[in-house]
Amino acid sequence: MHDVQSIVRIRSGNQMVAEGALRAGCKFFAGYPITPASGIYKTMIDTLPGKGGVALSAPDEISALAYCVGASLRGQKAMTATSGPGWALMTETVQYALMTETPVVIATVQRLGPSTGGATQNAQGDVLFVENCTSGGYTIPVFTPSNPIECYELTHIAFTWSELLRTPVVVMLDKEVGMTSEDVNYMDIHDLTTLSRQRTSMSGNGMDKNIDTYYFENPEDVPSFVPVGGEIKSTVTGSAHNKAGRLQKNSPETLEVLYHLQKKIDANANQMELVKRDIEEGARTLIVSYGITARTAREAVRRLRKNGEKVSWLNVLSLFPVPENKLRNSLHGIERIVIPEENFGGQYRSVIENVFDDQDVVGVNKIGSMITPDEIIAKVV
Amino acid sequence: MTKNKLNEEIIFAGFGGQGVLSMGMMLAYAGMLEDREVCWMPSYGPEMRGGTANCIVIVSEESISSPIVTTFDSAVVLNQPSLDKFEPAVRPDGLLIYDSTNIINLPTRDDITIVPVAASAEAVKMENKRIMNMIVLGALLEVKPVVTVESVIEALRKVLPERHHKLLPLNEKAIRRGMELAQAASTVETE
Repeated sequence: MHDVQSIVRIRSGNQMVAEGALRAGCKFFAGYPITPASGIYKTMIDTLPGKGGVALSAPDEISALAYCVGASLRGQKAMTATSGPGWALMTETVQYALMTETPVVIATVQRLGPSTGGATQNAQGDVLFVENCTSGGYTIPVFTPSNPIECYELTHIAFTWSELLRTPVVVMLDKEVGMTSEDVNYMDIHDLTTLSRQRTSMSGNGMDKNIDTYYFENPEDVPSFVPVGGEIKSTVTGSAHNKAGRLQKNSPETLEVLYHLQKKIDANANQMELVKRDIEEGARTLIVSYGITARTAREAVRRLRKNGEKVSWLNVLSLFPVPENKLRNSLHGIERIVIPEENFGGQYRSVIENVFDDQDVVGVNKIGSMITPDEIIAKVV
Repeated sequence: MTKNKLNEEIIFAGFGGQGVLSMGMMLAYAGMLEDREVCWMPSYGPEMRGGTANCIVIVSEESISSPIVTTFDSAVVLNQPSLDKFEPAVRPDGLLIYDSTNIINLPTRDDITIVPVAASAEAVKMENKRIMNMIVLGALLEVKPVVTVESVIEALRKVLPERHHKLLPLNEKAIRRGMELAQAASTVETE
């Protein structure tokens, strides 16, 4: 897409999510427009059909994600985009995708909640809502970009993990990240390798060939994909099932499948860790941020250093699974951790607090208006 | 090349439908064409039109760390609520440009440059109310040449669909008219 030298364009985060998806080989998009995520919807509707894909306006968010799951079960890379109110409707299908091991990427652009909330106001209040949407508490991988280039790269990476692990993956923006436009030099985008799900090597002959749709040797292995409607029979259900995909109550094999759904994520958690670090020797404070507050944090760091003060900064790009190793490796000499979030409870702080040893963990939290660099600086020691 | 590095932080504010967001986008686009780092952050209410709308535009020679700014080098305001809200947010020695057609309570600060431009009235005279925003943008560029008029025209050419390119001369005329109005207003002020 960008093999021409040094292309500079004005792009919003939303547009770059769509472009990252196209680069990853997304061939199916279904969505229902919603502020502040409509930029993704519009870009996909405008461009995907011209690239040999299908882009659909769904009648609602429930159908939108269900269409995507259907396309993915058939073997196509699929994505939808929404915001908090749409995510609420999608949670049933997110779980279905997880249970049926169907790769799908969901971009959600946070706005002020609860309910239909404030459509055009920024917030980072969906962190726990997105992560904890499953019965059973399974890990949903979540990536959080803070600028247009990260939107492109992390959407591409979301597709990679979704395909490799056969699980729903979320790219979570906030309104300011999605709707702010900036100059983007396409040469600044890192080299990205596009990967797709492992398909079964078996070849079928009509519908008479039966294999176990969800066969795996070890619990952390990912089953080879058998497309629905192909030559080999594929059995798919959202209910607890054995490796053949057949509904079964508490059999040891069914429980093994239920453990497997989490273990395949856990086994790859280290490799999914993605942060940007700016560590300063001698700093006593580490600012941990994600999304739009990463931008504010960066400005706070710039001002502090301009005044000769030492401070370290870590921007979390892979919110879940929690990048525990990279967080722990950033604590040398650190006495205080400051976590700015545009929600009132300190949602991510509550998740990562126990990763730290005896550091003082403080939040900078508010809703309704953006956290300023000065509010972060006030908490730095 | 000895002067300070360019880093201009501007808020454009008014009612939805006045062309506030597109005016800011044209400036950002023009900045990009001049190899600047640019950032355009829109903010508006849930209404389709008539609500408040504003956008923050940053044009800089250095990489922009945060798009979130609470005080500004310049404020360009098109209605009374925006004037009331953003006059106090202009930094000392900064610039406030406003469409005087719609203002009852005048700005009061004496530590900033204030340039009133009767842009809406002028747009009516030019027989196209929709070019009001370009008149105001012209006024801004006269007082603070953050980008050249040529870059703004080039930005318009790239952003507008070809079927609207016949409107480019009118837009340029509006920008030039805004520059004249700002020049006149500034002259009055110094007398």
